[in-house]
Amino acid sequence: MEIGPVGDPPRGKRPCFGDKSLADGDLVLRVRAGDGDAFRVLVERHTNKAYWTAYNVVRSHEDAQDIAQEAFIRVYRFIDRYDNRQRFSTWLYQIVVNLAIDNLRRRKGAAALERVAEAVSNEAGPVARAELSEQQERVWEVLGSVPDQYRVILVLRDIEGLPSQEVADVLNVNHATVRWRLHRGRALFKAAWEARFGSSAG
Amino acid sequence: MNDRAAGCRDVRDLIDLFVSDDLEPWEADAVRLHMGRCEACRAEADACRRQRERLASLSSSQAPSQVPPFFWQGIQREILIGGREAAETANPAPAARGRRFRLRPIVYALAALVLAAVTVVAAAAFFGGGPALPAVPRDGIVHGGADQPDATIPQEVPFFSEGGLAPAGAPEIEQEIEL
Repeated sequence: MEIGPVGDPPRGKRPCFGDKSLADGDLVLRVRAGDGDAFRVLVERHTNKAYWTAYNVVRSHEDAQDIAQEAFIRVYRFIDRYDNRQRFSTWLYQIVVNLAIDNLRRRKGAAALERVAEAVSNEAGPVARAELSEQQERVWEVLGSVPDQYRVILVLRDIEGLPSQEVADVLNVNHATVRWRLHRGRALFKAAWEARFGSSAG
Repeated sequence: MNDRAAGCRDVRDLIDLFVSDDLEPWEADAVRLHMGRCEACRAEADACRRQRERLASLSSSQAPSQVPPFFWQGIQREILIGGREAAETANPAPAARGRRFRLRPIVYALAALVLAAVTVVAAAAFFGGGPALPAVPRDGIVHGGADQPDATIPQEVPFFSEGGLAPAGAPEIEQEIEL
């Protein structure tokens, strides 16, 4: 891979974005050395993760897109602060979740709540939402009724499948807190699900 | 029966954590032991597994790509603006830029508007608006409502009048207020 600026790579020299030969940590080292192509590989590799995590938390297509974009900009700007002992995805999740929580805080208030409700009920959602199965649509709706702090935990642990310890690292809380919020969030989801679809549904 | 019921109460809150492998080993052993002889708790564990599967269906790993064409360009442009690179030619056309940058012209326009308004108000206050604002009309009624400054500005009237900083402007503004 050629060392170069953060720009469109020259024709014929574009790196293979699906190439798993380079680990995230190696790519980070290359980015630090000024390799723009390496950064682009990181972005391509993790964009879906960043976008969908943000989307499941903030539940707005446009906001999720902005959050994902901003997250990668911060990754680039603060790449020197990345601790190589940590997984890159953990660091990225931290940034995404913090931005998503900031987004939710900004949207607090009556008008914002209306906006969220509208986003949940009316928005076509992500373009891909049309491709969701009926079951996914149901899960999406019920997830929206779970309060923010528990929804974040469910998104990280049960949707994205992060280990509990990694969830604790992302949220900067201890393992016991993760366990308690996880249990509470699941109970809330279950209650909402059963209230809406009955205990036997799905 | 009572022992079994008590076991259910103790275990019930741990079942979802057992299913997701979030318990300490000794806790997991206790739950496993109880579930070996309790059908109701096994059913609860199955329900927890189904719920996890439902949630996992929204995972990004199963989701289609949701990256718009301008996503990378938006990041790229912001980074270039940040000063790390100055390759102007690499910038995409404005129409192709990321969504997060489309609002900037509006923000700049609003900022310019606010700045202009502040400048006008400040200039009016400094070059003539100051002495005229508190003037009381000849009919003795202050027109213009409660938001008219009435406590501080009268003290400035003699200052500006005597100093002659803006004697010519004052009557005009006073006339406006009388109207």
